[in-house]
Amino acid sequence: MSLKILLIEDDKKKIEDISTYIMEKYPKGKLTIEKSFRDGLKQIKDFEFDILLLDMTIPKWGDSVVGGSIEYENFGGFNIMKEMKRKNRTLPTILITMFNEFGVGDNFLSLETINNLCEKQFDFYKGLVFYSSKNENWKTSLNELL
Amino acid sequence: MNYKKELYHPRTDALSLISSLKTLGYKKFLVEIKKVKSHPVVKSYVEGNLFPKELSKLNTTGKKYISKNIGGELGWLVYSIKKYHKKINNFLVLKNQFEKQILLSSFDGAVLTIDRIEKEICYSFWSVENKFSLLERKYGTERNWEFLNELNEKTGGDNLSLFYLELFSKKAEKKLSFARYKRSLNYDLSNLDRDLQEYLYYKFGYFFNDKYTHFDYFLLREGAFSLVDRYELTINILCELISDKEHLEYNTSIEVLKDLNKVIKDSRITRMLEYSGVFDISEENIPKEIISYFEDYSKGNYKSCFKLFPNLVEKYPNCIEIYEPFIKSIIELDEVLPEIEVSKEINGVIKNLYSIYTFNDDFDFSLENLQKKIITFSSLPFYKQLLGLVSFYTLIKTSSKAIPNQIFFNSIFSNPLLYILNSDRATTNSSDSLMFKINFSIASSSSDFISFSSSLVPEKKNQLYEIRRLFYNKEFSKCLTEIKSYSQRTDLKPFDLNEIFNHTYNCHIEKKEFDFAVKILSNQLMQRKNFCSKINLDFLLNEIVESDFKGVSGSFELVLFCHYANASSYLQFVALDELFISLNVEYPHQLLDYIDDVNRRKIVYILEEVCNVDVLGNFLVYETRTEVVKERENILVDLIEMIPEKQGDFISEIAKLKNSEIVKNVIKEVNDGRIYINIKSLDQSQKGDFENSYQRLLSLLEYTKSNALYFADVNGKIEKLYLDFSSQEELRKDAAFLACKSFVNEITNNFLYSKEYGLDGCLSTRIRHGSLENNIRGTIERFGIISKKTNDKYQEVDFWIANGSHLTESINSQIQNHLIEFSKQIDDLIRDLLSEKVQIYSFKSLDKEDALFNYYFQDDYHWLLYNDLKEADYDYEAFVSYIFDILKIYTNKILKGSRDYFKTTVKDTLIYFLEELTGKINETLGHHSYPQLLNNIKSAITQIQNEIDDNISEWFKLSEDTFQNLLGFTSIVNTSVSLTSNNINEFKPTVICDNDIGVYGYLHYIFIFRILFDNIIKHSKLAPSEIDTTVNANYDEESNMMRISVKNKLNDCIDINDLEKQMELVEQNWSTKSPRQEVINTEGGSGFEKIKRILTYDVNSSNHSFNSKIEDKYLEIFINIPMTILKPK
Repeated sequence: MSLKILLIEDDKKKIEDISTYIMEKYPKGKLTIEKSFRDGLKQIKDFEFDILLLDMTIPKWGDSVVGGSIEYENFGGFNIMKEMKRKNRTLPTILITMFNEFGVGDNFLSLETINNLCEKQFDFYKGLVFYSSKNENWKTSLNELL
Repeated sequence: MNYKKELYHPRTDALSLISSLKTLGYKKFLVEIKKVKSHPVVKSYVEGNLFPKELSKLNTTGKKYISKNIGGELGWLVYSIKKYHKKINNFLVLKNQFEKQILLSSFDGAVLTIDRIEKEICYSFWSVENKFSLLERKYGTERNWEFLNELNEKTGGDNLSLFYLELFSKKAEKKLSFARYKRSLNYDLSNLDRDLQEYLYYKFGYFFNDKYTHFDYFLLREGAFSLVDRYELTINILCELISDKEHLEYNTSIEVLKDLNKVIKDSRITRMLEYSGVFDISEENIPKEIISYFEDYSKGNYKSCFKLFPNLVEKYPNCIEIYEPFIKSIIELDEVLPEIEVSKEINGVIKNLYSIYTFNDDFDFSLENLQKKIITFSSLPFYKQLLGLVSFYTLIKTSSKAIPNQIFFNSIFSNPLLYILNSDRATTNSSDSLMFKINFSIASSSSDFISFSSSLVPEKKNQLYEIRRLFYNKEFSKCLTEIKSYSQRTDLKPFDLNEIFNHTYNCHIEKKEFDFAVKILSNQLMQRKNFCSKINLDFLLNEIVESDFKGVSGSFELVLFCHYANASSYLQFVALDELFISLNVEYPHQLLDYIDDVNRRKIVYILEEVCNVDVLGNFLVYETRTEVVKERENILVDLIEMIPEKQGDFISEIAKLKNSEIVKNVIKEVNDGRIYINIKSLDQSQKGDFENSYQRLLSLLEYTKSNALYFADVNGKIEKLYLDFSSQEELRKDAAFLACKSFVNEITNNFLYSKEYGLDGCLSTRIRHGSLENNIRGTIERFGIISKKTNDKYQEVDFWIANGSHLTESINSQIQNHLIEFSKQIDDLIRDLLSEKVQIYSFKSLDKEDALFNYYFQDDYHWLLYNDLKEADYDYEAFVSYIFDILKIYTNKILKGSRDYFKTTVKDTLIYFLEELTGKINETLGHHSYPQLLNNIKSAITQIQNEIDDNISEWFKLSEDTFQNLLGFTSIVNTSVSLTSNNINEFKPTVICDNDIGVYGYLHYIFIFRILFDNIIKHSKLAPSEIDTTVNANYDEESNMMRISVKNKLNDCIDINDLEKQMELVEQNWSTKSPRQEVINTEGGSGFEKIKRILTYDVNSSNHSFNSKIEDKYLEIFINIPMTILKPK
């Protein structure tokens, strides 16, 4: 059976690394990549996947991901999970982030808090992977969750 | 341990030993200290500085030993308080006298009283604080500043005292709004260590901070202050401790109170002992006339209350309890609020409380005034009670009960409100008076008296008491039923309605009926927002979000609530989506079908405020952003019809929507800059506060022209003030200069750190988080020469081992070491860039000294702005815009520096690392060769240079937001077309704007095009589908002229000769005459006079011209507008 994976991520390098890793691990797998909150949600709404790899901070719109006018959703990944739960379209989800912290000022949340929140609120949430292009620890963490 | 023996040992650090006694706790400290009381250290430290006779001695910054023991620290202070209790008792008498004098506006007497306190007892920060407020009341701000100057001279260069004095002076200033003072204090204290921060809030903004935990630190800080300051702090902290039964030092606080009660006559001590149950409360200490007055009020004898109050208030001005019955009696009697001829201060309090109890239009203003009064005289019991009272009407976020308890603790008698504030005390009541019985019955949930009292008190009150009782007894369903019946009454006053609204809301919250809570709250927010001032919207929002909107159903009210609660755009979308599901609609404009008398306001509000691009952008029913923008535009066009008075705002938003689409495309094409700062929004976000601050700055500027006045320049240095006095620098600087500096810093701070619009957010989300690391590493990684880490250990790059079979194992191993070393260098460089370089260094963040974004301005920069301000006649807008202009220029300079830094230093370092790697590998290879590896390094050198030059460095550009203020003609024409085609769908002219230019005052141009388009539709006499129009709007750089032409087809039936004559007349009038008002006003005219008027008066252009041409059944209008004046007048 070929595994259908959806990756919602906008960073080129991260996409490259994760795609390579996933294709190595699941050579017969089918990986779909979306780069924005909206496009990611559309995929979840319209198609079936076995697993979702999700970034936390993503652009809201898919049609303006170049240039200075990117509107980032600081908690976009979190909101995608909320939408999945609300619309009852859940699937096993792994957060892959390279941020140590989210938001600014009073809305600041640490990685640990985010993880706890997700664990508490989403039973389809599998865990969090901290990605960094300089090390490969993320692969081990991702492998464990997959 | 024998402390006495130890203390007299020559090698003992006596102060350290004495201080260590504090760790023993309250009781033991007092026992041990008595044994060594004759030791000089006890005299000079524990009892040191109790009676300063001059100002410079108020503060001592000597060595202090932290005990972390509240009891011990209390013991340190109580030792002297008990010893000098006579002085304290004398102080309390005079303090009471002073408070009455303030309330009765007997300022001369108050000055004498303060002088007596200073002479007979001692100087204290308490007396200085009150003197500032007194002088401000008596003579105004100039005298306040004069006093500050006088005291500054006497502080002997003590910066800490200077800092305190300035805050006392500031909070007394009448013209400095409460909100402004609060904001300014929040700003000053924002980056301090928690203990010091709490302490300073406790002293200068008690209710701005939601939780206090470092009482030991507060006591330590004031352990060497005057006796008066020590006593007042002790009492205040006891109020906190006694309000929290769970506090570890609760029992200690009772012991302290009992000890103090033996020697000190202070009603606050009695109240606290009553609160904690050591004493019973009774009506015996209440003057008979006050009891009788309360009885009258309870019985509904409002006329009597009305009559009795003036005499009572003159006699007991500091008895806040008598104010409420009087004001409510006036409201019950439907009387106009009279001027009470007692004093200006009391009149002020009554007037503001009247607005609070009536919830009238001045509600917010009055709340602000009362809070200003509270902060001005924050150390006087009456104003502490006022704080407790205000806390019943506005949301003060605090987990402590100490704030509402202030009403009771500072009361001059045993207020039976105690039963409500502390229901543990509602076990017995022996008093016969109505107010005792009523409060006791409510709190103890005994319905007997309430049934009985129905014959004594008016039915309305009796019913309300029953509602209160049911609520306190947690009988929420019954309470709601009772409220329903009560609401039918026709004699309810605003305070009754507010109370039952709060009870209704809270009953639903307690019953977890969030749907009902949302409904009644949203309806109230729409109808009478002031009624909701006590409601914690965040709490309900959290409950709803936590339950994933499960407990609430889609409704107009849910959407409104999420908007009022300032929920994120995603949550507002969820609420809207739930509403759409419940109504079975897909698009917002379909809500219009649901408009009826009941829902009209709600739907219009939702369309206006909630259905914006950000919220609608979450609906997947729209395929693209363009579709969302179009939907918003349609909504705005509908809103223009529904709320014509807001036409200008809606058209402006449409224009900006058009514009932002273009701007996004422009940015996409020409600029990859990742730094975007929305100055317009920054400017608006704190406008009210900043304007108030600017007015103060102007006043100081005026005052210091002829008077010397100095403030302490504490920006970023508050912690240093608490260090050793001798090492402190001179912080005294010209007051107006410092006000200017503080103003500029606040604007700068907003520019840098504003949550939504600031620079730091941009740097964080767009550069620091991932992008930079991924781009540098990713570029090198493509060539396989950088190694990755696993468990903090760099891994070998297998590829080169596999391909290096022609080399010895040792060479391969050395090559791997070089690669690992290189990888570490790269990662260190990236780490340094992220954590040290792409950061901001400013007054607010002093730990990033190597940051590229250095906004730490030296005083010469502030002096420059200050001198400019003194010389030029700036208004607020102009000065703020001037500062923003400077910040923009400065930011552009920094960004250029950052680009250069990346293009030189970063690039050179990377090349150096790569070349060094080449060198090391060559050396290792010796006579061997490994061309693929060396070629890859070479390619990486080329590629990383390209990456830095063409990509990364280009991120450091400011995407100008001038587009926010300027609008191009493409957007202007398109907006006008949208507005016109809303009525005539087929109207789709060809628009050509090859050479566009941005203009200010774009609304005027939109109006011009709308007139031109309306003309076409009306006068071309063509069916809408046959209308053929071409618009040309091009900027001619040579003549600096905007050339507009509008060409449209004419119906064959039009008499061309007649039209030619008309157009000729228009042309003649255009060049010779001023706009004619009578023609402008003619409905159905051609509108050309209107255009001329707009150009002449609104756009402020004098040399515009008009021409026309009729050819082949087409009329073409030409309007040329000089662009020399870009700004509207």
